[in-house]
Amino acid sequence: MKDAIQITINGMTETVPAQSCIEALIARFEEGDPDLIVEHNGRFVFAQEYPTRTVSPGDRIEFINPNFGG
Amino acid sequence: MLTPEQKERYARQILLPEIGEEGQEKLAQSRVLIAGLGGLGSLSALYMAAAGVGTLRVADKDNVSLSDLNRQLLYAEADIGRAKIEAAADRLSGLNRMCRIEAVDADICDAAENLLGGCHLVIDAVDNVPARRALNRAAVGLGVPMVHGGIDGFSGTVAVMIPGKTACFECLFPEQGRTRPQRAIAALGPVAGLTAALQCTEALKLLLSAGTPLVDRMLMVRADTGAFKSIATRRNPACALCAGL
Repeated sequence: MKDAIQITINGMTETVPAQSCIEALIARFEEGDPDLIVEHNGRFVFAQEYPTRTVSPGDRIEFINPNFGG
Repeated sequence: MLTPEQKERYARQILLPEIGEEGQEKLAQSRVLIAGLGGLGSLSALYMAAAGVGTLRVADKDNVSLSDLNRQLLYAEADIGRAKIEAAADRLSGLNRMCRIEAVDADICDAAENLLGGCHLVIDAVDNVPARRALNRAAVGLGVPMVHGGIDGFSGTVAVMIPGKTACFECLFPEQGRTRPQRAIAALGPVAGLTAALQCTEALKLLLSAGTPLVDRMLMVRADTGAFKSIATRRNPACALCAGL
């Protein structure tokens, strides 16, 4: 993969294109929950930031399904 | 002024310097809404009544069913078929007759604003997103702090949402016109208990102005791995509900 970087997604090392945005990562890893929680280096990412927020080498991303049961 | 009976009943928590007799009086003067009397709400109601909250407003529209009893420890087999609010009122009054119970048969989606009126705090213990949105809208509109909680299987989430100061539910989960697929959500009793206990601890801290509230963080428990984690949150500048506050 040209211009690839390594990041950690849900605890696993993954190789992704450099400058990948969150939106692209959600599509790439087929995350389908409409209320998905995205954590980027320990911080919550707002949905409106998905198309513009990009990852850098060594970043940590967590995709978390929300808990909405009571 | 606490009565001798109150001093004895709450002696162990009055020992806490953050509570003392003054804090206990504060609790006695508080009114808390517990929205939803399922896994989270039924346990929260027990904790809050036992702690000496003066008035508990409990709201639900369902009846007790057999499949509730693995986690909703407020109810017994004899309650099956009864309205949850009636069974809850009986049990909570039996636990602490000094706690005034306002039991409301209501759909949270329809009645959120009325339910929150006059309350110092709401515990979000509902089991669906539309009700959470309705509750959040009312809490933001009325300026009532909300202690959010949710469970799914081995996982639980807790966050304190203070209107105008922290992220609200809409900040984090904006309405996007998409409907979540309907499915039965798995629920394990101890995970509901753990999550409800964390919610109640935060609720008591807020009522007492004690400790450091769980603000600007979303606390998540993964009971299957025995791990806790917290995610840093903040207010969403694009929030359709609270950005203008």
